[in-house]
Amino acid sequence: MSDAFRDELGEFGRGLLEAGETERPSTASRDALLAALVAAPAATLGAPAAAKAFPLHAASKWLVGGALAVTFVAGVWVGSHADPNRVAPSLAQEAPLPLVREAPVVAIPVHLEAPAAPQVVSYTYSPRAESTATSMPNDEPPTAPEPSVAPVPPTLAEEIAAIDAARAAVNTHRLDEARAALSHYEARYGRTGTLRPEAKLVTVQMHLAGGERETAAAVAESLAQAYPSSVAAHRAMRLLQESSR
Amino acid sequence: MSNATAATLGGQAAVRVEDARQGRLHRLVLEHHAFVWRCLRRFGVPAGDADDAAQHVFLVAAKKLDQIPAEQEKTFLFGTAVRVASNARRSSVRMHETPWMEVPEVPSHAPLPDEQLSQAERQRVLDEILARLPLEVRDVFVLAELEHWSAPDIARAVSIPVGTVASRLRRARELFAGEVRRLQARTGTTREKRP
Repeated sequence: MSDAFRDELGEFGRGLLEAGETERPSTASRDALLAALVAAPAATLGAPAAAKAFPLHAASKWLVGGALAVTFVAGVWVGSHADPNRVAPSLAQEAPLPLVREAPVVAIPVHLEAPAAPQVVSYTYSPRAESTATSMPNDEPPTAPEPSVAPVPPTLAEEIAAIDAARAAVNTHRLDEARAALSHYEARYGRTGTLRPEAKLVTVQMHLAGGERETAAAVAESLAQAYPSSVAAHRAMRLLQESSR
Repeated sequence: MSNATAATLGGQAAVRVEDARQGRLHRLVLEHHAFVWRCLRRFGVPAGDADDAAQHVFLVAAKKLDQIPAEQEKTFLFGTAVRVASNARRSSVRMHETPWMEVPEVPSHAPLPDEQLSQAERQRVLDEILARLPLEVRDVFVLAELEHWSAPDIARAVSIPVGTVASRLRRARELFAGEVRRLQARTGTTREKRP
């Protein structure tokens, strides 16, 4: 039914729909959001107030990135120094940590200040069930985040770093590095990882980049069977379709 | 068990609960951030504001995390994104007296259908066409055609019967196809006038 509709639209109309399907936010904006959620314990903030305190508009994104860098660096340092019996995550040491590399260190002291004139302040969002959403005064400055106690689950942070490293390697066609990073991920998180669908998706991308379409198809198929409703599975199947055109 | 031991164990349990909560929130962002961002864009939020609006959506989700059933996470995020986009549009109209998604009769920089359009141009044209669709059919169209949701999933997300999903989708497709044809016809005329 949908295929018939797309046929009816012609190439121009199909191109419009495909443009909508493939539009994605930058990885940096997602990481900035994760950092903002770490820095602002949302359960204790009204959403509009929290949004005001931690807007992601362009001027403040690098500040949030700095906070995330502190979190990750502190996490890696604590993991490798505080407890000599604990094995620090090797990926965090060996693989590139894009967030740390990209975030300016000079941002650290500045992120304590509430950025001025955030665009999101203009929102008058007041969903019916959000009666207590503005419990925090709008002019109250945000509480300074404490990097060393940021509640990012360590394994999840490691997983993010591992996937990002693998994806970066695929994007720059360093396929051997991507393969190594994904093998490491599989060995470490293969059974329990939160981001297993994402890892499979990157694996599909890696095989496609290497011209191994049949292998990519097999991985995509297993991904679709294991996580049939996941975005990663859908995207993997679409990548396969696109590669066959 | 002493009171001190009980307090310590209670504190550890609280830390584990908070860790689990943070883990779920992070998974939500990682799995659905792109989906939320695209929905905001398709419902009229400009690209430059979509990051902030997405943050707003996830802050609402964070606040209500304990009340969101695992199987309804994406539905919750979609509903919240639609409301955030709607309120943001209204707010923008009040502040600037010009809507974000002001739709001209003919797109101001209407591209020629047979030209090689950039991805950004296609997205702009898509949003201009979507903005012409009535809201009640637009959400069904976006979920079905751009996000590939099944009819039962859409029915749950929009709180309408599956049969209504089908009828709205049919209507949305007719309108969308009509807009595409109209745009092609008009830009085709424009092209003929060019040297």
